[in-house]
Amino acid sequence: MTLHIYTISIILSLFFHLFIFKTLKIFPEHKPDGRGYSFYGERVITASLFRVLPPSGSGGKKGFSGEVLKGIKGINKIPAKSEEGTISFEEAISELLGEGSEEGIPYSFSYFEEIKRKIMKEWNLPEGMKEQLKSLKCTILMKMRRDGEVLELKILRSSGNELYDLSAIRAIKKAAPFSPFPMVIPKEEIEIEVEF
Amino acid sequence: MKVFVFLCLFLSSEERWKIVIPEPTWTPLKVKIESNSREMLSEILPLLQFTEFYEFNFEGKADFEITIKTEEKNASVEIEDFSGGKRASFVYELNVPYFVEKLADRIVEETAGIKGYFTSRFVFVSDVDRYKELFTMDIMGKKVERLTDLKGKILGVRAEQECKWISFTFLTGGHSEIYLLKEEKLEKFITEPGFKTGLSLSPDGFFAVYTGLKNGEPKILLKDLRSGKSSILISSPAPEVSAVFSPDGKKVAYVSERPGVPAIYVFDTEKKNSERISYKSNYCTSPNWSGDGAFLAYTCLEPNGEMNIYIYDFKNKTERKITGGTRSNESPSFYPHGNFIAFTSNRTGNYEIYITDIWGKFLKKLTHSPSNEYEVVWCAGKQ
Repeated sequence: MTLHIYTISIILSLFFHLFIFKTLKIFPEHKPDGRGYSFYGERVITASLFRVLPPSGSGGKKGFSGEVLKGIKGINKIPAKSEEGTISFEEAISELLGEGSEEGIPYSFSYFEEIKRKIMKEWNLPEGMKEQLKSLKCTILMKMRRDGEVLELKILRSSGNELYDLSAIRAIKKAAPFSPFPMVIPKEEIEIEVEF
Repeated sequence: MKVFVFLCLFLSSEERWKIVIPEPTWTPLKVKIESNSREMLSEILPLLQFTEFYEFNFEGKADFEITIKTEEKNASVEIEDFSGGKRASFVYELNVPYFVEKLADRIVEETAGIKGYFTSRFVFVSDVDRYKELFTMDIMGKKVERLTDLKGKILGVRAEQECKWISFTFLTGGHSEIYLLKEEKLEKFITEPGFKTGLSLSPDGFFAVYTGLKNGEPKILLKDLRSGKSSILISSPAPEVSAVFSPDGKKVAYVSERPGVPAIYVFDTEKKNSERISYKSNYCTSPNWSGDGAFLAYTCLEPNGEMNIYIYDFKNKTERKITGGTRSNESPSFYPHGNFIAFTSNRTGNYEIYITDIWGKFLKKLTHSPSNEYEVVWCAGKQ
């Protein structure tokens, strides 16, 4: 009896997960590069686990910090076979981190990296901030729509210096609009804390 | 299974994402400026360009859009901040003295956060007519005016932040006199006999520190201007000179030969103790405080014979060189409202006045004369 209950529970659970995955559009509509769904699914889950990205720095691939690389658990479980042949561990990592995303579907890592790059490019600080720069920090809450438009900007944590806070808002406004969400972000709107 | 269920819940949660923007590489603010008056643009643009805080030719979106409308008697200015968070508008009367500078000051304050830049002035010593006399000029190195005609040698120039008073030592015929120039009146300030130089007044105006001789040794003397009594401020067996009050009046920076060579020290007037500041060089002179008292600038002699400007950061207790490899760089003087420093240098032959910032990344030559310019003091514009 107990065994039956377990079996039924497992089957129901499988259906439940399939339903959830389908609803959230986690599985792609097509194979973008001929690689297996399991690989793609693994990538999606891995990317989603790092919603709160650590600050970029040295030691990471393509501007990502070492913490991200260390954080991708189960990366060595990725199937190493494709239709073209074997892919290396490094290629798999590159794939996960969004290398070559210009040609393929942008992944969440490269998507946020692109937002970061665009904001950095537009961030010009007033001369009077130079000396205080290291002691100032502010966080802007950015509400974004699926098509990449910025819907709302709010100062979540002020630096206490108006010119600094406004320079951060200016940088985001100038950088907007951003690219539409990649399919790994199955939302109509998201909120991003941008820390300056 | 539980992990999968957790993942699914995680995927559908409303958690926020986070991006951290690293410290930027410094680039000028992008500014669009327009006016209905070409004359106004031709006057204000060179001032704003001089600062190097702004870029006017660029592609893409501007950080600020400035519109200046001139009418018969007034100029109205609108500053649009791309953030949408701040919009400044102000009106200035035309044809009043320095109205373009005042207008530029306001633009710089609203956009770059620096006060009184264009209405600031320099006081300096020049040997243009074979004597060493006191002159003043604007931030662009123009509008030069003579302040003294004493026909002698002026040195040891000090001033209040807005140059409400300027003190200097006048040497003539083997004698030295300390003069004070206040509200366009010049008077001998310290009347005690004997050699004296380098007067600095406390911010409250009650005390003066200067160098005088005691038993043949130069010493820092403190004079209570209310009672008229003088005493030795710092007791040490070594010669001590060049005392300067900090902006809050609680400290006095000076040069002491206690280590065997001139070094910069700071005396705490409350704790009554001194701390050595300069270690990187064996011969340092000319201390000068930043407007907020956070930094001290001074000149040090290098082993190769060059003189360079050093900055001491009181917060981080660090000392760093901001000029280098270019002959003598002397007499640093902070801009009272910011991180800029004026100094004199003979890097192109004769001594000229330059400005830089506390990182030594920005450099502008202000004077281009055949004479020598020494002992520059940067005075803030009157607020």
